[in-house]
Amino acid sequence: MASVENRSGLHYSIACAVALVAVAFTVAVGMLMVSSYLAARTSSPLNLTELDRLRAAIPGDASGDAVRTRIRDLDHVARQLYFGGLHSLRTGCYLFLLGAIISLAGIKVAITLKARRPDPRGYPPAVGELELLASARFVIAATAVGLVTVAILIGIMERRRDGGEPPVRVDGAFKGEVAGSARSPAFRGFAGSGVAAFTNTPVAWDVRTGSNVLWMVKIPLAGMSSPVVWGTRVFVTGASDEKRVVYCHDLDSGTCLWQADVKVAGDTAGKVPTVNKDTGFAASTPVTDGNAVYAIFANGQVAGIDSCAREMWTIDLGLPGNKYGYSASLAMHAGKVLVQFDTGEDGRQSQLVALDSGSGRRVWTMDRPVTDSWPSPVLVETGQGTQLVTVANEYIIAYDPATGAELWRVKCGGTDVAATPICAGGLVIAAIAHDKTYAIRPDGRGDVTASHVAWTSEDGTSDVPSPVSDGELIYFAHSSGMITCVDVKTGQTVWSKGLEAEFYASPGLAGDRIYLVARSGEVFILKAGRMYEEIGRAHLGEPSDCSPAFVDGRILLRGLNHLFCIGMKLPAGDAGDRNEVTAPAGTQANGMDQGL
Amino acid sequence: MKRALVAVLLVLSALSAYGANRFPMPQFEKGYFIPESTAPAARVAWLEVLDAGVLFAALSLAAWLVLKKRSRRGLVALTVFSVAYFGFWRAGCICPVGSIQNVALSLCGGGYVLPLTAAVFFILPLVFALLFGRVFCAAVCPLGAVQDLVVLFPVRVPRPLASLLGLIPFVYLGLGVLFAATGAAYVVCRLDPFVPLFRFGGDLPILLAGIGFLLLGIFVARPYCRFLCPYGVLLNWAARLSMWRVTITPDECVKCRLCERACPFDAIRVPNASQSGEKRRADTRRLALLLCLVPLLVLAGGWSTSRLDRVFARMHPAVRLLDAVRNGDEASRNSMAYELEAFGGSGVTKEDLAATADAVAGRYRTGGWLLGGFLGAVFGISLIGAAIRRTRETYEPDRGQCLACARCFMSCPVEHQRRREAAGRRL
Repeated sequence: MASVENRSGLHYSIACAVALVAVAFTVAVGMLMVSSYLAARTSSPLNLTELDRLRAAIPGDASGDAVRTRIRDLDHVARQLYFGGLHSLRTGCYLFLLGAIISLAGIKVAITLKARRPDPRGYPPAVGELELLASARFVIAATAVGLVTVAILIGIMERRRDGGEPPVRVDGAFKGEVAGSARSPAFRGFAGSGVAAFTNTPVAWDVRTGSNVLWMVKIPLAGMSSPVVWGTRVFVTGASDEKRVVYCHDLDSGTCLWQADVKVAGDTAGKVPTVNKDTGFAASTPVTDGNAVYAIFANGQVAGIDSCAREMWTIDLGLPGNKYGYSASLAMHAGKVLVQFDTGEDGRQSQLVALDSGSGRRVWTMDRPVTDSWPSPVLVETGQGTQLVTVANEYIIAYDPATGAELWRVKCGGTDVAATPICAGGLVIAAIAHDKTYAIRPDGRGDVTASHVAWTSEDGTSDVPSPVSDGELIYFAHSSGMITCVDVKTGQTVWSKGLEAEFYASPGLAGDRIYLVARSGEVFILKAGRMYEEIGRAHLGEPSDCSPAFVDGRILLRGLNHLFCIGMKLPAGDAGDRNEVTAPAGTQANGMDQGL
Repeated sequence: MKRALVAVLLVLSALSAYGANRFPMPQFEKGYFIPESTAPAARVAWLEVLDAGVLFAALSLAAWLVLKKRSRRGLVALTVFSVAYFGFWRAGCICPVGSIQNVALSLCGGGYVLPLTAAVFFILPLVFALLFGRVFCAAVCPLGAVQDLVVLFPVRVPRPLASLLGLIPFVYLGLGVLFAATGAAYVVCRLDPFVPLFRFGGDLPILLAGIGFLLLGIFVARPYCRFLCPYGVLLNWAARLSMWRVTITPDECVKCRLCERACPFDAIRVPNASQSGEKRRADTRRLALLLCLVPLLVLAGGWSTSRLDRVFARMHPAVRLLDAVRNGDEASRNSMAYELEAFGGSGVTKEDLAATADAVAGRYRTGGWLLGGFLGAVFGISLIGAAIRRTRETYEPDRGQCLACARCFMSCPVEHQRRREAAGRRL
């Protein structure tokens, strides 16, 4: 028995000794680790005074090589020390863990060996349950009251500090359909209607003198597409038969921030689409959601480019068969890029395609019973939800943008349809070239040709430009120069006026000002109303077939060669104010170097 | 007080930034291209399936060890395994405790897809708790396991203090879900004190907190599990409904009190049949009063917490960025220098940012109502629970709070007798 007790005592002593040594070891390692951690945390080679001194002492001539070598050596040593410290910290972790395990095991063994048989007779008497419950109720109630009081006090103090105003608020006042949005993300702005959310746009400028021209910048590759804007970024596309490019410019300075090549892949590679000179290879306006810009080109190539000029995805929809070249712009809805791919010229199937904006994957595809067309799809908000309205030679069709399901259709005639529909006065207004204008109530289902066409009119139906409306009147521009104003409720002509100009660009409306860009580059500014009234006229100095984009106090216009930012300059600048910026050479996007 | 709360929330959220190793890049002159940073590859699919399988196996084994085998030694072995596998090998992620936030975000975050592993890690322990009690806490949870290994000299926390501290997990759960659901942060993961230990690195304050919890755990058994763990709240609820649960004695209780003293978590409820009660009429009146109080507590909690929307909103990166862009002082501008630089290059306007922040604040108003209502209900139900006296003839583990650690029945003399008899029969 004695030997057993002696053995147990020996084991206890050994366990205590092991635990003691292990604890001391663990504590020592821990202190060293803390010291090493703090040293690594505070050290930085940039803070070495010797490095600073050497950097300042670099001479401009060849004798500076020795100094540079010295700097590199010092830099190398500093980094070695830093990363060596991190490495030793890692080793210290393992040693600390080992020490902790041995300490714990030693102490547990010692406790087990020294454990006494429990004697319940020495236990204190159990506390009465009623007392426990009463104390628990008190604690819970007091805590609840305390928390509610603290929350109320903090809430009151917080609101007093902010003067009762909401914690965040939108600075600046914007008038228009989408308040607080300094952007024009798609063809003809938010709703594709050509109506601006701003009223402070200029009515006069002079490109020759630079008056009210904030900047103009040359776009290397031609394109009939219009600019789109998000925040401080302006996106335009340009293309030739060999190359397709998305350009990103700074809204404030016009500086080209990046340009991204869209690589050709799939079946389209090596094939050149047939295009009309007036359409070109980049007639479709891109669309942006602020995170990325999405563009389609005449060869049916669609691409998503992120804000760092990186190509997120590109897909090939196949070479379009449109006889004048592909021109439909993209629309966007709930993370989907919507493409009206009406290419059914020679037996091919026209389609409406929804692509996932993140991956380019097809979300849904709907076959369309139409031949080739040139208008863009438009999203229309109705009482029954958002509709995607399309027009083509044979049909005006509305779809559910979420699923692609057809909602309603109206049979129409016409050929070479190009004008994009709009929504005005609760009606969908579709100008069908060589046919007539249709005003449709968008609350029907199925074929509503006989039931939901509010009126039709053959007066002034535009052929290439899309109409614009202030909700009361609709303004049509014809490529021949004829401007027609009709009443949105009746379709009756209010006035018409022939101008000495040709129009391909669609008009824009900012407040009560209609901006009409003629093919010559001349811009007519009319007052919206029941009487024709011209309030201004300006010139871009070069031809243009592109529609204007409006942002706060500025108009983005694209000519044959340049992108213009028109805006108020107070006082009016002279030629010296003209801020001409040229795209930097060799700024091809290649990842991080060119990223924003 | 308000500033203190905001400061605590912000400091806690900023702790991770403190731990980042920001080291200046070398300045190359001869065409060297610094490799582009890449995100670490996701865990391969078969390993995720393996993790889920190991979790299921560990839970099954724990249930068998606790309820059938009644083996404390087996549980200790499983505890060591769990610390090694779920802790050090899997670096403590994803764990069921943090998975609450994944589930919350997937339910409210519009677009966030809940990973299969997160779903399995969230649901499996709850299913096992519904069947067998808190066997996950017994030896499978790495956070609990590492604390269980350091319990050396357990002391009892006074009951009133334990009641007070026991309310913290509800608040923590509510805040964790609120911040995850609104996309602000995974605060439960950020503030997990043991993950930096498993990873041999992390934010120093969190690391020190982990060490502090372990040192405290030497005396106060499993302090994180009992007084902080948000997942423990869900397991507690599930375990109250469990089909099978731990029993202390295999036969008639001799009321020796050994189990009561052996439980370091104070989760053994003592017999009270012999204790005198209050008058029935007073009990009934109090209960009726508390039942009426619950809706009031829910409303008061919801309204008062909704008043904290602005404080909570400051946890969201968009709101903090907007504050820094608008009127941030020098310190906040410095602390958000990278975010401000990224914002400047993003092309996003202040108006867009303000609109985003406004939407965020709106979510916190709704979230404040829900959080406060939840806490009000918890407090009300807890008050009712503390007003109802259940008669016990013998020593019983508390259904919700018992961590199934097997210490109680290993101290039971009747259990020892059973084992001796079983051993004798085998011989």
